[in-house]
Amino acid sequence: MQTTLNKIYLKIIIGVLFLFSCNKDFLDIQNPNDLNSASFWSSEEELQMGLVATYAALQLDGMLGGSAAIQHPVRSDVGRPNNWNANAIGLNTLTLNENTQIVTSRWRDAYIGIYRANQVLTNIDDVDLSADIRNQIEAEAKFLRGFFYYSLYRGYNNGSVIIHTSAPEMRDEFYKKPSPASEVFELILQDLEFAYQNLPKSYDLSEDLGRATWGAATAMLGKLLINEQNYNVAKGYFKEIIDSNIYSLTADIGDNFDEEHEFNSESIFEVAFSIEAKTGTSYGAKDGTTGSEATSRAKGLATTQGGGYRTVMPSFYMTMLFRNDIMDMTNPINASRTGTANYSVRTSVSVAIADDDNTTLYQKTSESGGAYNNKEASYLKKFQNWWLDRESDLTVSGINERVIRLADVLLLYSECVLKGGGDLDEVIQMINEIRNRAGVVKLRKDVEFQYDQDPNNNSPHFIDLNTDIVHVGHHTYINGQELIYMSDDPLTYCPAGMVCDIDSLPNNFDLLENGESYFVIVVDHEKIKLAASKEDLMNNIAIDFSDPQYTDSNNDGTVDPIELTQSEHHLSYSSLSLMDHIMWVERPLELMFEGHDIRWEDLTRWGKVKEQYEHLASKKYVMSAKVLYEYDPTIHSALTPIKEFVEAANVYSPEAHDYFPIPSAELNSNPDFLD
Amino acid sequence: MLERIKIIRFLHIFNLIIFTFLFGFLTRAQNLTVKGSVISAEDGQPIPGVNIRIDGTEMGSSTNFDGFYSIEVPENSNLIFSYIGMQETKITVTQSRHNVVMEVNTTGLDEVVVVGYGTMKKRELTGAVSSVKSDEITKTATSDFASSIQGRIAGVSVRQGNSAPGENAQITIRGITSFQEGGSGPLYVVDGVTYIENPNITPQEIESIEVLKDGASASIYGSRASGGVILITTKRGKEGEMKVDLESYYGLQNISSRIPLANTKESLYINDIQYRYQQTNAFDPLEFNKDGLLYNTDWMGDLQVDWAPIQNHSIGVSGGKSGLTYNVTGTYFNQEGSLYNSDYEKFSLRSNTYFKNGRFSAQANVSLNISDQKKEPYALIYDAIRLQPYRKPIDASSDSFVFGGTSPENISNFAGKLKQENDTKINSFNGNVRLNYKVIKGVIIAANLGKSHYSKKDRFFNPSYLIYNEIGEINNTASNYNAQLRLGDGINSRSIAEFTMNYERIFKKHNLKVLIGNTYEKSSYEFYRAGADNISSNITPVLGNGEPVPSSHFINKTNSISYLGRINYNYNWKYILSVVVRRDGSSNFSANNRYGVFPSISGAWTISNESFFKSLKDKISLAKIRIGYGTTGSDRIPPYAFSPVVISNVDYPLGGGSNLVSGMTQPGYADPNLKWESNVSKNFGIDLDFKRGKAELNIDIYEQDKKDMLLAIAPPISAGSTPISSKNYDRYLTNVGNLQNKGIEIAGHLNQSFGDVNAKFGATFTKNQNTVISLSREGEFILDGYPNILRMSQTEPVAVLEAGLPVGAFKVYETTGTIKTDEELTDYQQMVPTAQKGDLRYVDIDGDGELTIDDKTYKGSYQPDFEYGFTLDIDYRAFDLSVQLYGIEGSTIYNGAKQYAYSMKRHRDLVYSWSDVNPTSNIPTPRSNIEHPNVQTSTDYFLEDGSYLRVRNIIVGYSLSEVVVEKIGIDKLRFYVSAQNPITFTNYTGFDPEVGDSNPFNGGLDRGNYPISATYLTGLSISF
Repeated sequence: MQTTLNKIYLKIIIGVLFLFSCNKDFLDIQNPNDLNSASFWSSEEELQMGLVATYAALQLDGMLGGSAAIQHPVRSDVGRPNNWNANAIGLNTLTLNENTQIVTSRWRDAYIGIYRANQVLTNIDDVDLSADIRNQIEAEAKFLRGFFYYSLYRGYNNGSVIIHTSAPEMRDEFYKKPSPASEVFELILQDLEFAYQNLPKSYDLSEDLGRATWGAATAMLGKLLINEQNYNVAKGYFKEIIDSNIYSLTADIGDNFDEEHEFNSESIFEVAFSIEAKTGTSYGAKDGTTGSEATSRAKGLATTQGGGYRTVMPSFYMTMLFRNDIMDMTNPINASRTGTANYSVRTSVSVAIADDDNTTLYQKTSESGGAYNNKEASYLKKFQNWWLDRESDLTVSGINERVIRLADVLLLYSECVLKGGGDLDEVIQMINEIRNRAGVVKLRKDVEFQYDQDPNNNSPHFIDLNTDIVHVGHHTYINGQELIYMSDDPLTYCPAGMVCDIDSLPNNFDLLENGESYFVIVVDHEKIKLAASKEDLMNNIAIDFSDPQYTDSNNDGTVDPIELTQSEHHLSYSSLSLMDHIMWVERPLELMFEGHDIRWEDLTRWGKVKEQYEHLASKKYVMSAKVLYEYDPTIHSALTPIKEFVEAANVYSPEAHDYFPIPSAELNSNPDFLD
Repeated sequence: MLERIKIIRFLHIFNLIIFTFLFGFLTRAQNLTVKGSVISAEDGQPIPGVNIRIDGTEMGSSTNFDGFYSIEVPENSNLIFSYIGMQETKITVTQSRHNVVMEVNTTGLDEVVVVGYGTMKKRELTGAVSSVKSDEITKTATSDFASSIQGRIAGVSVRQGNSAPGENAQITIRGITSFQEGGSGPLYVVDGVTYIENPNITPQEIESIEVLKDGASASIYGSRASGGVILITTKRGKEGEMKVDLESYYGLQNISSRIPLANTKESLYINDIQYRYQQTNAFDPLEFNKDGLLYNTDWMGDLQVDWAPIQNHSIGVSGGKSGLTYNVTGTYFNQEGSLYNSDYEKFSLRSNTYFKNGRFSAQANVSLNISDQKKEPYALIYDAIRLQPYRKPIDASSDSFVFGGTSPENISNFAGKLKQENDTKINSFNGNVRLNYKVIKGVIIAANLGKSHYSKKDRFFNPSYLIYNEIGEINNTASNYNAQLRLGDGINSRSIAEFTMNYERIFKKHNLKVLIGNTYEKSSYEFYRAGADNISSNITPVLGNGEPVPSSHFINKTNSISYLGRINYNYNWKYILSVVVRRDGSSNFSANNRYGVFPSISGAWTISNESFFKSLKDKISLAKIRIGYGTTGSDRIPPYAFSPVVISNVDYPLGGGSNLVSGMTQPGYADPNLKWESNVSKNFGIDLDFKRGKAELNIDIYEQDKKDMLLAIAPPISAGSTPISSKNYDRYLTNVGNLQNKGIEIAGHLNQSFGDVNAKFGATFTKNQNTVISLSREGEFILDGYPNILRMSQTEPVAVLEAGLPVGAFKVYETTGTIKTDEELTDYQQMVPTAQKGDLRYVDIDGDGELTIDDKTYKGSYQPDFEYGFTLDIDYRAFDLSVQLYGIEGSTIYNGAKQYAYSMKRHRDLVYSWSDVNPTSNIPTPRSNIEHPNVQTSTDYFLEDGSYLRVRNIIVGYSLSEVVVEKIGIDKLRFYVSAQNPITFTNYTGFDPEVGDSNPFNGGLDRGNYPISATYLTGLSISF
């Protein structure tokens, strides 16, 4: 009896113990937060969403989001850091290293884009799609992948970076060594070629505005090749864009920098931002539930009055260029521009200068919209919301980042033409399209002018005999001698008001062809001497343009000095001087702080980094009444001159600095990288 | 000043009370002679030499050779009988003859110890189990029981990395046992209910803490027990009259450690050195702070609160009759922080009731905790380091500030920060009901049903404020127009159901216990965050008064099932065997890898019970050796980690304007083969007890081999995973490698009486050697651990996981002073072309002429060579003294605060840095670039010896004699004064060498954490 009872008890006990154990689903829990990737990627819609996410990577900080746009310009000659932003100072003094913020974020964010593009490209085969749709999705994904790789290829390790062409799934696929630069180049070329062949010239539906187009792919191909010095092929791509008649320069240059005129006729590719679409709560982040669709650039570059940090400002060099961007008063654009300091439209929409009376800054005068102390000579206005009373209280701005626009293509095309020994007229005409739109004096192949010393004004003048426009001459000092020059180009290497060492002049000055120099040297305000070479200057020899035949009357082996008094002359351009104009005038003025590190690409392509750094390091400036001047000891003896780029000029070497180092975050997380 | 008045007033009142008690009630009664015999309860034999004392006096006597005594005492007085190895016995004199039976002191032998799913007598133990009792736990003034056991248990390492009020210390048992953040923490079991995280039990509620250190003991908890198990038993009532215990203390805290920062004069000199070698962007601080020389602001001092009060008051009511017992404890704790704007307040209430009727017994435990933690502004220590002394001090109470100078943003952002409100409110409820039913003799079935609910609400309010310059113009950058409110709510809910059956049988000399059971656990964590921007007014900070910002929400759920069984067998208490097996299933793994089996076997041999040992038994009352082999595991990972996900909200504004198109992407990777982490542990132990508890010695030697350690590692950034804050998408969980811990732990104590002085001396010694055996990819290393919480993306990690090294070993560049001469410079520039004189010289370890990651080298680890603790408890009549020391030796610390102070040019060292006038200095010259190699984190320059010896606690107490207290109708009254952490002996130059973090990579990083305070307190306890 007792035994039976025990058995019953045991059964009960066992029954209780295993009461719930038959519930097999107890350990199967569905993730309520995110979809499982394995069941995704099954429809066109899902591929499209993956593609949108790939576009979204363009907004990341290291791509075209805030940091990259803020930080990159200080490495080149167009930007200078504020006094305390250590990241920007690091870039500016070339003491950047593998831990510098932008070095890490550009690398990381490009690879985020690549991974997202690869997800689309890897999974596209598993979805049943029509050939058209498939090609369209593939072409967009490849354009974007090519774009991201382009950033890495131009940015790092002489172009030798890690290649992922599919989305890695298993652990061992992550750890890769860098591929040779030639393979990276080939991959970019193929991706962009595919995009070039398959992307439409434009989209029918407005909702597709912002997707990559044929034009974007073509321009990227051109950029890829011009940076390889393959001018001929690059020229072909640029020409196709120009001849396609899809794009035209906007009437107002400012349309390219504001929020109201995004995707305008000039725009070839832009990265879209919006402040309304999603405000977000984590300002820097672009993805995730609390992410935003906005860029932090505006806040980073705005003045204190604009509620910003002016982390980076235009360099002194850039400021002087803008101050000397001479208006063409015959251009109707300038009809309403008055005031004591007449700056061009291009200057007014690009930078804030204290004495610019023709514009506003954060609903104040240009002078009171910024502090202009602390050696701050100018502030950025391009892509800033300077028409508002201040930048957003959050670190956000909705202005699209224009990556490629027609003006850039026109100048790149011009460069290809000049490098290929092509037609100067075509180049001058293109540059003048840009200059005309900017409201500044156009280049003329032949300029006839008359020198005139205004007795009431200390400034010498040159009167354009064709147009009767009076050009103010610029003082400069070379080897202690006062010289005055007139040119549609300020003498970049020795801008007005500065004392220059003759050694700082560019070497190619020597190469100017006979009779085609546009340097006009005026001595003692009575006689005009024209110089064609550095040697001319050193020997204080002037050459008369009106008479291209030199004479050497005393047979001493040097040409005769010809003295001219207020006579007529004309100047003309060579391909070299036009290239100089593009390098030192037109591209910086038109494109500073745009795109993705455009200026550094330019300077490294031209091999001019060292020359430019050294040139700029030799300059001295002063700030007087909030305005920057070239240092003139006779006027500014009471002021301490300020300099820039001294450290960069000392340490720069192409091997060490043309490319960023591989970020330590990669080396630290990828033990295979160096093996 | 105010604080000082407070102290004086407090001491004044204190003295008054003592005076009243001491002299107000003292009266003398008539005398009476008492006689009797004293015998031992164990064998009925008389005990000679028993010390007899009249309570509350110095008068006494002792028993003669036959155990007889005679003493003259006042009427109604109490006699106290004490003898080594016997329990102290107290009688109240009611007649002229009192025969006394003394019980054998059971501290060593028959003490009941809580083990998993049951209790055992200490002599039954086969594993390494240590125990701490309530009186030791409450000696430390803290809201966190973890910090109260520091140094008290060999093999249990407690680090208080963050001393902010309300923050818990990290406990690790037998070394770092996990690569994961929080993974090395033990499993906590409170009255049978498991908690993965510190359950934050109020110390006053705890009766005892048992620690299961070895795998054989812990394997009954299987997959949870890889880091050991801490069993907490809360106080229960005893049948008898209702008893009330009151405990109160009040104290004052002061931060005693500092980091040397430059004052105004020194800062200007550092600035001068910095720009002496730089031509562009030179910066003269006085140019922008024209009145700078008027100030010498000590920001670190300003942000600290001197003599911040701490207090605790608890009341316990217990009692019971007729099978029902109860214990209710209520505690109020309040600690003001030593850093600006931080404090912590906690109210807790626990009720334990127990009911027994025939075969049925039931127990219900309910606990409530309500706490409110106010946090100092984020990274406040960093601000105190960063801000220059030539800046004007701030009055944070204002809504608008005036800052001159041309770059006021830094300082004014800081002013705004001081106005931020950041607090966390936790409400938690824990309860369980335990039902036991005795089915037949020896068979008990039990069900334990528990539920815990934990709600953590955090609130962040960043008010708006305006900043003006000295001429009254508004500074739009520095002003904050946008008053922001963020609310977060995380609810952690767990249910546990356990069903066990115990079978116990003793036949002849065979003792058998069998346990089988199964458990079900469900836990869920749900978090959401909402917020609003542009709150209309600072005085109406509620969501509705602003514009809503995107909210976030997630739910994490984990379920687990376990089946467990244990057999304990012993033969005549000599040969003891324990076999345990547990099978666990966890929803955190895929169906293929879901279940793990964790067996263990252990045995003990009580040599002292052998007949041949008899001759030694007088001296060695217990000698036991234990040997065990056990397996445990860990499933402590976030749920859903084994399958990759796609996330939404990766959008892009196609179509122009504010048009938004939804995007989705797979943000990272997942390892589908994710599986259990397993741990094989071997233990060998010796327990010795001398002269019935006069001295005790426990030695354990162990080896633990961990396999398939889980860690969320970052793939190379070139793999392209998306970092999203608060999500771990840019890391993936995988089984990365194997780890070993070997060690020895020794604990001993000694009781010694010198006349009226009873001294108890205790010591613990722990030596653990931790080595990463292998990683799953050969030659792999995993770097992590950033010395600063700011600027992480621009600094390098300094800790590594690499085969052959301990977890979190420092792997950094070696440096050898500065570059001092032109020749040295030319030479060094071959390797680093941008180097200048005064730069730190990095060593090219592999000699390849380049500085690469291969030149990073092992430079020590924070895991100490050994750690030790001493306790000394002395009773002298009414006085008691308790001293506790704790120390670690041979640990290396990364001084992150120093690194930050260097990179901000604020460290006083920089005054003596290399320059043309100081050409022999090895302190690197300050440079503008914040990532400059001179201040980059990844060097040995900021590593320091972190050994220290700390006086943890000195307590002096005085108990009023019972004669006195009875007059006022109470049982016990004790006053004490205590100094906690008053002195630390160390060579460390940072804030405090006690650093720690739940992330093993950060364990040795002094990341500018909340520094530890010295606390001086005074308290009293009353029982009636």
